Parts: sequence; C-alpha cells; structure tokens
Amino acid sequence: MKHASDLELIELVAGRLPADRQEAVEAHLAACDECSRRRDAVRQTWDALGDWQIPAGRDLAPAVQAAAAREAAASSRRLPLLLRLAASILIAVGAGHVAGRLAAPALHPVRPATAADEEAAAESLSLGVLEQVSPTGLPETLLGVEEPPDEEVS
Amino acid sequence: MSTEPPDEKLMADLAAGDMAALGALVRRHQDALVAFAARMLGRRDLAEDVAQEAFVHVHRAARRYRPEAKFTTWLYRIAANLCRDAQRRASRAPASLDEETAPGRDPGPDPLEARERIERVRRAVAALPERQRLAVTLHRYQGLSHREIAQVAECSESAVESLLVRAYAALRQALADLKE
Repeated sequence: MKHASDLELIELVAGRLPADRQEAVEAHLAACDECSRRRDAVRQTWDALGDWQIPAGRDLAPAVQAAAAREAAASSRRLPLLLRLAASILIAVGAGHVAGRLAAPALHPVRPATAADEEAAAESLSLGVLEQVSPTGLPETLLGVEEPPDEEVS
Repeated sequence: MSTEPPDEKLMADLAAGDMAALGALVRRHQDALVAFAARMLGRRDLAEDVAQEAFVHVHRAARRYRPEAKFTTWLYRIAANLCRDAQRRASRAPASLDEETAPGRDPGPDPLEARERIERVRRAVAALPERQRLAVTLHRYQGLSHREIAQVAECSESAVESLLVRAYAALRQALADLKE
C-alpha cells in the first residue's frame, strides 16, 4: 500500500475513518516507520488541542427568551403603526375627494351664458377690432364674413 | 422513557410561537456554541454575547427556517458570521486566562505549566487564518464531518479537506515542542 495521506492520518487519530479504511491504514502503519512517526505527530497535536477546554457558563435561555420577546413586541407595535398610517392616508384622500365633489357646484356655479354675458366677453377681448376692414382679409376669414365676389372686368 | 424532541420539531414549534421551544434549543446547544465562539474569537468574554445573539437570530428566522440542512450546521453558520462581526468590532486585547480557559485534563502537579500549555494552544489556534480556524474548530472540538463543515463554511468538501490539512500542519509546527 502507498503511504497514508495527511487527511487519513488526521481522521485515523480522530477515530472517524470508516472501519475498512482504518484497518488498511493501521496495517500499513505497522510496517511503515515513516507513516507511523507522522501518525504520532498528528496525535501529539490532537492531544495538545484537547487541553484547551471551555468551561460551561451561565444559562443563556432566560436572556435569549427575554430579548426575543422584546423583539417580537417591538415588531408587533410597528405593524399596527404602519397600518394606522396607511389607513389615515386612505381616509384623508377619500375625504378630500368627497369634499371636492360636494364643494365644486358652490364654488363654480354653472349657468347658461346670456346675450349680455357674450357682449361683455366680446368687449373684454376687444373683438370689435375684427369688424374693421383689414387689408389682410384675416378678420373676414375668422368671422366667416363672405366677401362680395370680384366684379368681372369686362 | 421520554425522548427529547429533535431540533427540527422544536424549530417548528418556535415558528408557531412557542417560546418554550426556544428555551429548549438554547439549553441543548448553548455550551457547544459558547465553546465554539470562544475558540473562534480566542476569548471567552465575548463568546456568551455572540451565542446569545445567535439564538436571538434563530428566533427571528424561525418562520423562514427550512430543515434542509442539520439545525446545528445552520446554527454554527449564524455564529461564525457573528464571530466575524464581533472580531471586527472588538479590540484585539487578549482576555485573561482565568476567565477564558480551563484545563481539559487533570492539570497535574504543576498548574502553572498546564495554564501555559493552554495559552500556547489558544495562541496557535488564534494565529490560524480565519477559514482554517473555522474548519479545525468545527472538526476537532465540535466533531463535525467534512460535509457539515462545508455547509457551515459554504464551500466544497475538498476545500474543507485542504483547510484541515493546512491547519493541522500549522498547529503541529506551532505546538511541536509541547511535552506530552
């Protein structure tokens, strides 16, 4: 068998090689001083790492549950606030729309125009100038006044 | 004889609002998670804060949790990310040995020597690049398989194997002169 790989030696020392593989590697180590020394070095490192243990501390459950409950409460407070805000906007828009519809006739009363209204409007726009004879003939075009046909020159 | 509910069942209960399930998950995994964080950070004083924050994350994400991977690999991934953040924030001042370490075996006739050994190990692990430290911590102390480490580290199994070989080689060099 070829030499054991570094990873095989690590897993052998960790006790996590599959049984058939473990048997094969151990058989090789029994006959190979070089791999046997490498295995010993891995074991020395493995055992040294095992010296560093972390003692158990306090129970975290009460603090975790309290923090989670605070978060859940804050989140449930945020949701109604958003809902209230959305509802306020909808109500404001709806009320504004209805108020606008109701107020419109009072603010802008609509009645048919009378002849006096038309005269006042024509005067304010100085439409009288259009009645004057213009060399361009534009007023006649705008007012729809028919020009008399040119007299044929005989 | 009563059997403990599996993590996935407790997560489903938690998602349904059962805070007792959160307590059960914390009590089941807190010692391993604190130890993992302490070794990743190289100091014990921040490890409990990281572990507590990790469990609050678990509560926050309970409704989104899908048991596609083992609960513990998911939990270690959360904790590994929090360790990275904590390490960025924290000053690099080492904590005292008294509060962060304890001998794993009988310290023997010379407690001072035992403490020095532990400090040597702590420094050797702390000196590893972060991904090697993550792989070797999960492998040596948490007993995770290559596949599980790959899920935590979000890389391939072959990448994990390469990280492990390099990490153990560096540790062997750093700790070679420690007596048996």
